[in-house]
Amino acid sequence: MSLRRSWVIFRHEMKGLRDDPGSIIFLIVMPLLMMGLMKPLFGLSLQADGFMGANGAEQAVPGMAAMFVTFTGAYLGFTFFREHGWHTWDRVRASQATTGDIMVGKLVPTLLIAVAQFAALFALGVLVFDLVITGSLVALSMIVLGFSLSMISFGMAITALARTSLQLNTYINLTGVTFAGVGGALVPISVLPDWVQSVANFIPTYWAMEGFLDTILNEGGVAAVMAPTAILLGFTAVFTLIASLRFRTAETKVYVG
Amino acid sequence: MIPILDVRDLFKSYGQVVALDGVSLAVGEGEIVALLGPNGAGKTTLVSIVCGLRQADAGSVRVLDVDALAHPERARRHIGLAPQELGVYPVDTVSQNLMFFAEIAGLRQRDALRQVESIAEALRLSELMDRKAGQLSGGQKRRLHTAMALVNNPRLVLLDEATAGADVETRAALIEAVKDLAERGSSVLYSTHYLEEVEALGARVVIIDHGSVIAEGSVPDLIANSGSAVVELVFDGPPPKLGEQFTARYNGTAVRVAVDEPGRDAARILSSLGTDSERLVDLDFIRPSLESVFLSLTGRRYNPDEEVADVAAS
Repeated sequence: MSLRRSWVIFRHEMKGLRDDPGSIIFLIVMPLLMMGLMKPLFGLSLQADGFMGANGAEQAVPGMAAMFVTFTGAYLGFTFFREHGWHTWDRVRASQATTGDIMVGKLVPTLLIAVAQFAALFALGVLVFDLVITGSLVALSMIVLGFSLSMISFGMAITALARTSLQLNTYINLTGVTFAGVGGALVPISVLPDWVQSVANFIPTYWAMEGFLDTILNEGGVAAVMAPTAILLGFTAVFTLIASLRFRTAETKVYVG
Repeated sequence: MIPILDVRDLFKSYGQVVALDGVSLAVGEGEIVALLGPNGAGKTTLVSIVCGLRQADAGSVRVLDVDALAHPERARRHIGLAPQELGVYPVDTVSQNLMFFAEIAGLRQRDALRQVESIAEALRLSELMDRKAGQLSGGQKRRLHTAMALVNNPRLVLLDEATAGADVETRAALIEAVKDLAERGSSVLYSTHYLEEVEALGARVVIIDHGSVIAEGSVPDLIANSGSAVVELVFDGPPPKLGEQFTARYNGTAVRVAVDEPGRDAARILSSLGTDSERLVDLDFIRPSLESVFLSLTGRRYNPDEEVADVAAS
């Protein structure tokens, strides 16, 4: 491993992002629109659950942010598939960069995107949608980081499993919406059937929403989010294991774009 | 001479398809070795194994003093590879493409800039440095693709079909750059299926066919040993049996006769055909060359586009 080489790859990825920021703009603008649409509905739902002062932003902001952060996995996968499409993958592999250098160089920018996406959406949530965070910002950051890590590792696992970029998009979109729906990001978990609430325990988004709602609505601190954060890191470990078992650097992937 | 690249008894199969069947070769310091063979002969598989992109089933590969099969990452410090597929970042400029690979090779910014300028000049890219790679012509892209392999000034350069699809200017520039590299001490393994390029490079030749090395040596030596001129006659139907005075090989509807003086000997052959001359549909002279060497060794005309399954190339 060489941090210097990872840094070169990191800079190259960030340049690609600056040259073509369209996908990142989409990942910030779309959830903002969704927040505006869903906020009134979520307000009524939270009030019915006993949070009388809630305006709906408490669910809409973290929920839409969590759903759209899942899609950064597609961005991560795209950075690998694009190399195959340009026939540069073998060149990079044959360079002095190790597989570890390449992974760090590609994963860290995507992690930064996810964290920046959360930061931007929460900041805009406060400014535009009157979101009030009653609990600890440190606790909120722990969930942001834990969930971002779990989604990046999930994206890497899907990248490892997909043979084509179309498969990558399909898998990420399908799981992104499913995670959001079942995990209580798209609608409050309390309105979902009991069996879905049971299944939700196996979805990272559920634990992220648990942590976010605790911090936003219940004045939750670091202690309150320790368990959800640990579970999110557990998901990260499982997804990383799947990715490392399945990812073959010599495998030819097909980029359709 | 201590070899910079030393390949011994290399085997590689893809399922039932044998891609390399005990290949051995060496490339000395400052030497150009042309790896010649038709499509699918195993050239790309060999190059891929040397730079650690694929694993061998058996054999050994040493790059300088490094066991390249056990420590591919260490071996790659000495290698520059231009793969068969044209691989550049189309959204980056020529300069950015070159800088990326210079820096990934560990060059400091100042050294990287100097090296980038030098290699760009050698491959006639200096005027194109600020142009996006995606906007280059096919030949310019090919030159950039090759320059990216050379930008770290590697001890061993692997060029896999470096001139595939290139225009005349690009081909000439690449051949000159390869010669220049060798003069400056780099060793070059130049995989190609173009016979004329091998002759232009003045390289030592390793001819590979169906995964095996069938001959190696300098072009003059190979021609002297196995490259006599050939007269090829193609008939409508089975070829007639020629007299014992001719050294003939029969292949389908063709008969090939090794000759010393094609013009004079062709007349002798034709006059011996009798009424079979009415069935003669084609007559061809193959001068003493690498093509006649290949024909002599394999019994087949050299057809660069002949498809032999090389999984690595597909």
